[in-house]
Amino acid sequence: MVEAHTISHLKELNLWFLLSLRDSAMRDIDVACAEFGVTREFAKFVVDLPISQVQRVANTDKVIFKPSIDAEALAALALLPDSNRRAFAAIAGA
Amino acid sequence: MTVKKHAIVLDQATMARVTELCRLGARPPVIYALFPDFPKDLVVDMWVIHQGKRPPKGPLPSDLNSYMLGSHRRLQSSFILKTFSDLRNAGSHDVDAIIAAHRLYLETFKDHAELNPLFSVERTWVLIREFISVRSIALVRCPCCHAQYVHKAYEFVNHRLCPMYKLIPHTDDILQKAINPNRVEDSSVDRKGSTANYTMNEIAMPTGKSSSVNPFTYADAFA
Repeated sequence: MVEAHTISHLKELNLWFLLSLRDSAMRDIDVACAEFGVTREFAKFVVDLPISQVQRVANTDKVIFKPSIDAEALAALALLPDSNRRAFAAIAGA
Repeated sequence: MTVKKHAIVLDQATMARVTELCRLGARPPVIYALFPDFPKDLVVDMWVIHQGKRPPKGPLPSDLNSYMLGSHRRLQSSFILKTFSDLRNAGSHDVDAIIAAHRLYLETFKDHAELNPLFSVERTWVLIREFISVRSIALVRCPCCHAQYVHKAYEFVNHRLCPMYKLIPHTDDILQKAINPNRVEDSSVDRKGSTANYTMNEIAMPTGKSSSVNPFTYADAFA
């Protein structure tokens, strides 16, 4: 059984993801697509979604996005120096 | 009332793209190649307005080796191509993808102590053209760290060229290495024995959309 505080964290994760994506896509939708690994339609939809709907969507007891890198790339990130992590995460993305 | 015979309707999106390319410093030949129907004298005028000087003359960069000399250059060119490729797959317009990839590239590497941005927007364009149009460059995936990096197309893949090769201990079991970095590996999976270090028995094939039409044309952009 999933504990209540875990569900609360998942909702927060969803909300932060959607709000960060929305904020980034409002400034530059192409850069947001590259940074968040979403399609243009997805980013555009999140921008157009009213904030009340964003909260409703985020209020789901399941993580609604998935990591863009696999376990091997995650392991490589753990072993890399700080300065190269961002560039590596970009070239290791799915 | 007479209408000019060769009048061209310049839409707002095209103007915005040309303006952004001028701001980034793309020389007129690059803009002509991307927008063949755009008035050439207008490109020069816009370039002067945004850069405050006449565009420099001379040939465009063409040497492919400059993208692959050393791990720093290979990392930067891999970053540009991977970002462009992701943006294209995400449904971005090709020119927007070039602009966004170059801007992200500058932003990622500008504060880097060792890896200052080495490529101008012209070099970014040449790299992307070689990748999707000429298809002389391929992105191959390292079997160890799973990074995708630039490789000359139609050559045997050599994973020693992975830009992360010197930074990450390339072993067959990178997951265990991350969990326990101090673990001493046995001889069967050490650096020399690791399959990740071998020249793989495969040829780097160009990827991306196969198209007989040059993707960098104004007409295609609105198809």
